[in-house]
Amino acid sequence: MKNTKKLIFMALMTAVGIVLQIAETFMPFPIDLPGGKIGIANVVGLIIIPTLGGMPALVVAVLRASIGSMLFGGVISAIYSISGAIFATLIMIIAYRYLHPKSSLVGVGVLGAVAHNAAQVTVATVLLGNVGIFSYLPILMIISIFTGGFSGLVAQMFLNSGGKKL
Amino acid sequence: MVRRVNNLTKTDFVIILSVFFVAIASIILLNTVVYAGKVDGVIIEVDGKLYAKYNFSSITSQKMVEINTKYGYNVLDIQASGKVRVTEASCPDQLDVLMGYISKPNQMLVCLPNRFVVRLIGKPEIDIVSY
Repeated sequence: MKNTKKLIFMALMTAVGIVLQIAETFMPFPIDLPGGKIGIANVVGLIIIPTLGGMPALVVAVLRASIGSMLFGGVISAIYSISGAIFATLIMIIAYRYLHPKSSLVGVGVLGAVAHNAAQVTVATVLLGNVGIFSYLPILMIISIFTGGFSGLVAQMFLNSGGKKL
Repeated sequence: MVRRVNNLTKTDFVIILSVFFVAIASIILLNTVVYAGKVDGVIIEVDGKLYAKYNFSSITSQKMVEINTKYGYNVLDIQASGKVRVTEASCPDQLDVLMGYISKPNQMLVCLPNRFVVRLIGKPEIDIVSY
């Protein structure tokens, strides 16, 4: 892909991610972490990792999380979003590199969602100074199977339909 | 450019199932080890120091406790059945109020701006010393 095209695609994906992140604030979060998110916006990372590679995905994830929480939410939700986005994207890059031909994007997405929630729970533990919050992680892991699997399916459908033109 | 993405593979199911089993195992572990036993009392701490302690055996009906310190104001609702919740808080996020009731040993309610921690204590059903 040419450089200009790459930049435009990254900008577009950042915009899509921000919209998804804002839409996510209207979805109910099962437990009360202030600013905690389910992580649907990771679908953007799942689209970029196979098309552009790991580094652009990380850049888009950080941009998406920081701009999204500047528009909607405050400092605390920014800490949650950015840490969740960075850790989830890193795990997805690693999972894609080592598992991808064997597993589809659904598996990569599930691992990313688990990483996203693990990062959020860790941040909550540090912010609230309470280790008991880790007891929420198992429930969040079961939810991540669905959200991550959904993200993976969406990314897969996108790449199968429009992705060939990229 | 784009590698062909296939349908769900065997590795996907391995990933999903292992995540699921780790989650279930941790839930079972939490319930049998950390939250095991019956609730015995409630401890209120402010700024890391013991503020008050109540035993459920000595509470006959609902009890409202006001905690007014220089860090802030909280109202704690203690039920004789062993449930505890925060009904009022002076902090902006109201997180401890939103948490609702807690009823198992080692569960906590935290109001960080007010440096306020409520913890349930319990006596384990199996005495570890006699094991």
